[in-house]
Amino acid sequence: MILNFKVNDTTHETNIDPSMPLADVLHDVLGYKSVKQSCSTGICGACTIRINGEARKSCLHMAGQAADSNISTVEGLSKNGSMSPLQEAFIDNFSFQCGFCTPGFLMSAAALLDENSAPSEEEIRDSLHGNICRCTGYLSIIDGVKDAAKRITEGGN
Amino acid sequence: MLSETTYHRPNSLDQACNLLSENPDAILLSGCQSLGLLSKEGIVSLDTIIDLNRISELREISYKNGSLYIGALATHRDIETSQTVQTHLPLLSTAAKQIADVQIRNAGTIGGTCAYADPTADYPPVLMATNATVHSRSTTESFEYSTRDSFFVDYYESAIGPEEIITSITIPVSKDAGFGFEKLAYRKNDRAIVNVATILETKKGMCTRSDICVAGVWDTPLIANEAMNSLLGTQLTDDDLSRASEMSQEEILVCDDPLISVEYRSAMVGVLTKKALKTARGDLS
Repeated sequence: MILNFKVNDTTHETNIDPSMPLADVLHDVLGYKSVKQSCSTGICGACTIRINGEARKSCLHMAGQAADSNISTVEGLSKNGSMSPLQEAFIDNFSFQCGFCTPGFLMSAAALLDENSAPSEEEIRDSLHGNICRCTGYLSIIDGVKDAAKRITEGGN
Repeated sequence: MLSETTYHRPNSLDQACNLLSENPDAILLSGCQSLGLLSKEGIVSLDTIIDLNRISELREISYKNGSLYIGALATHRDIETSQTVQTHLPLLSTAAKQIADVQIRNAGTIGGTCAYADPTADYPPVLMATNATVHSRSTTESFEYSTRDSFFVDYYESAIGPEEIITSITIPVSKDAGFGFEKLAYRKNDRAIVNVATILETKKGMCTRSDICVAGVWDTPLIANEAMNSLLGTQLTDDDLSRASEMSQEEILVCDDPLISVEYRSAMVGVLTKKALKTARGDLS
């Protein structure tokens, strides 16, 4: 079936099985390598992307379901070659070690911060509940999101 | 290689009903949060899919004449954050907030949850306690199922027929009611080991309504009839609530689980019933 995927404002037309998991479409077919799969059962959150702004687990969406929607991945976070304040805050706060889960955390955090630029710690924890990290122990990730919120508020963007 | 799935994306409920009538073995797709797992496990075959997500008329949430109307495609996140639900039935938004995580709540729908009839889900005890009605349609007929009496048939089995599509859930709402919801899970927001929904109402200090529904422990959610009846006409003292909780623990059937003993689960039915009743009592204005 011919389906259109709009990823980070680029439209891709592709002929694929519409029941293919969206995570496979993004990573294997369209080459968005930030979309990681670990559990493939909706637990770990490594494959988190955004569909029409909402954080979603791409392993639990079928290609057909996401076609024609606005999809965003980590590849779309940087602008004109500069990293987003959220990515810089993750680096400065050591919010990752091995990095495998990081794209998912970034997309969950980006969805939160777009909706709520001054989240409480409880709101940060709630928005990251669906993402698992086996390296950091989470505290540095929460610090990274708090710092990003501060940078975004102070930077005025 | 397996043959490609035939994938339909109807824009209206009529189209969807016609497609289902022409393809009786088709799988209906809404949020895909449970269906995705079933297909990966090879439990369902995806030869033909009818994707309901473009039928925007099925996503409405509204309040009319003492009844809350929730379209089948309303997501858990819609229900959690809806001002209408929070105002008229905070019990339902409280339950929605305890489902999985934000990503899953952004996708999963109440209609899908009802059709799937997972005995550990968080809406079913709320829907049964509130005496909600599930509405469905086929090409030619409309159907209504009482959640209290007929909707949840068995383990992962609802009363929905093969040519029906769930369209909405309607819930009678009383502004005088107090609500309680308690859930025990391995990890916050995980599948329920036990969950309990309670509703209480009083007139001049005497209990005139009590509803208790317990889920997660048996093939379907169960109503604690004897415990409910024991509260009617009482002043809802601590002793009254303790006695009702003991009766709930006594009458609710509990399945064996590979990881948790029947005794522990049964004890937790009593503990959670009591906590949920206390919350409902405290919620009475």
